[in-house]
Amino acid sequence: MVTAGKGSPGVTTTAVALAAVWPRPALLAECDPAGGDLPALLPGSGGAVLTATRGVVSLAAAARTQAHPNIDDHVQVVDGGLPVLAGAASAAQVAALAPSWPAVIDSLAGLEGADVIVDCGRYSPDDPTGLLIGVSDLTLVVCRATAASVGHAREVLVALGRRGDGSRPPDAPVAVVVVGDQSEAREVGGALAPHTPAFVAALDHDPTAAAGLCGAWSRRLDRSRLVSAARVVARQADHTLPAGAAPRAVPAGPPVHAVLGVVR
Amino acid sequence: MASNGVVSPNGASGVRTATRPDPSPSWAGVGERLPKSRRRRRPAVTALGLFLVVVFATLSAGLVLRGQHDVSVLALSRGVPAGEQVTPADVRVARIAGSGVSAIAASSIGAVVGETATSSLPAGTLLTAGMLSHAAVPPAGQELVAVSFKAGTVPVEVTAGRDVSLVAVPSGVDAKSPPGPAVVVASAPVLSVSSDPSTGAVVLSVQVADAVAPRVAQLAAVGGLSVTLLPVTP
Repeated sequence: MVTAGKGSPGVTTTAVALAAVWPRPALLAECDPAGGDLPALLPGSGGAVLTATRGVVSLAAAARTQAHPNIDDHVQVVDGGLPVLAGAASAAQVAALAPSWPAVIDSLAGLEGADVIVDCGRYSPDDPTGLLIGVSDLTLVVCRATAASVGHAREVLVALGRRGDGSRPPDAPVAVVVVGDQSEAREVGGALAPHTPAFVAALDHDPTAAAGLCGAWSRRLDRSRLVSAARVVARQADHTLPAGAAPRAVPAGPPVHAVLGVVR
Repeated sequence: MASNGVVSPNGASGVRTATRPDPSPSWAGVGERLPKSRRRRRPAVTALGLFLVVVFATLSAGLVLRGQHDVSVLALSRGVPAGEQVTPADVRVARIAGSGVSAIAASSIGAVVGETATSSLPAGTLLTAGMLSHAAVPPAGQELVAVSFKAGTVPVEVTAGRDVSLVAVPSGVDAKSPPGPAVVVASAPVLSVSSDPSTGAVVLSVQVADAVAPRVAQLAAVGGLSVTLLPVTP
């Protein structure tokens, strides 16, 4: 997302914030088709450097030889305790992994003991993001409170509504996260009509805290408006999950939550 | 949650976390896990800060020490009249700071004791070299004579240190005085000048040779002297 440089609404920041305050154990998986950047942003425990080769790339390699690779071998922990599955380094690498994506997504869907928050970057039906929609129990579309950004969010909602291939649970909800305050979130909700998301949540525009979530120095990150709002959004998202969805929808494992974003 | 086909009643009712039968992965922690943000260390700025602290601490210490720099000089603990010798009991040590004062240092006390005051010095005076003289007053072969003059007969320019000439004048009844020049003392230094406020009389202390001192004293006693001021000689 960041490498695209076309006015990203903050998908990676939103995904990091939600995974950090998620009410249950959570794994942040970076599946941005444009390539991930978590290893470049965040330090590992004790100041160690995260590596891009351990994560989606190594999991995809393991999935070629094993039927059920152990995802624990590919998880790295950010300084602070956030477990992440680092994304591929570049868009070219993501494309090269294309044959292995179904196996990777199966591994994520079959993960025991933790929910998975997936940073999908920009939505595209042909990318791995399209496959992830099929196993997600909740899709969050991030947008800014601008006419252009809301327009692109509407396009995503339309595209998601057209998916009739049966790969997606019919009642898996789609929600919108607006980078802005509550009144802006209400305005965006009105502008998106007649598409009615499960909810429209506000995530405060807080550049200092957003930089802190991405490795910069930030004072009292846990008390920032962004993180406080993320706690509210995380609870709201948790309540929106279909009750008992996991045992019914995916007999093999717990739910996968995809955080999905739109560029521009 | 539903692995191995086991679905607990609680799980079915929507409480989905507590009933997970499998142990959680080692990395899966409960509670918030916000990324820790570390302030970047900048050794150059730290070093500059420490350097500035040292520099300004040194400067401040230097200024304080300079402000406390004073010297020991000699002052009078009691007054010394003109012509008297300074005794050790007259002198005490004073500490002063500053500039523009040419006081005698305390270490030179040996050179002060025994000197003669050239003028009357009140107690507390900081001693300077000009206040003291090595010579005794009056020197050998000279005598001091006080001569009183009626008001209006002494030039006001006569001050201590000037040389004057003393001239004998006939008193009203002494008609037998020889006529002509009657200069008693051609030149004598005046050591002090004082005046009597009640009568206006002026008293000069004049240092004269001991040969003429009796005659000067005799004439002064009857008011038979007049004074003329001599030009300043280099």
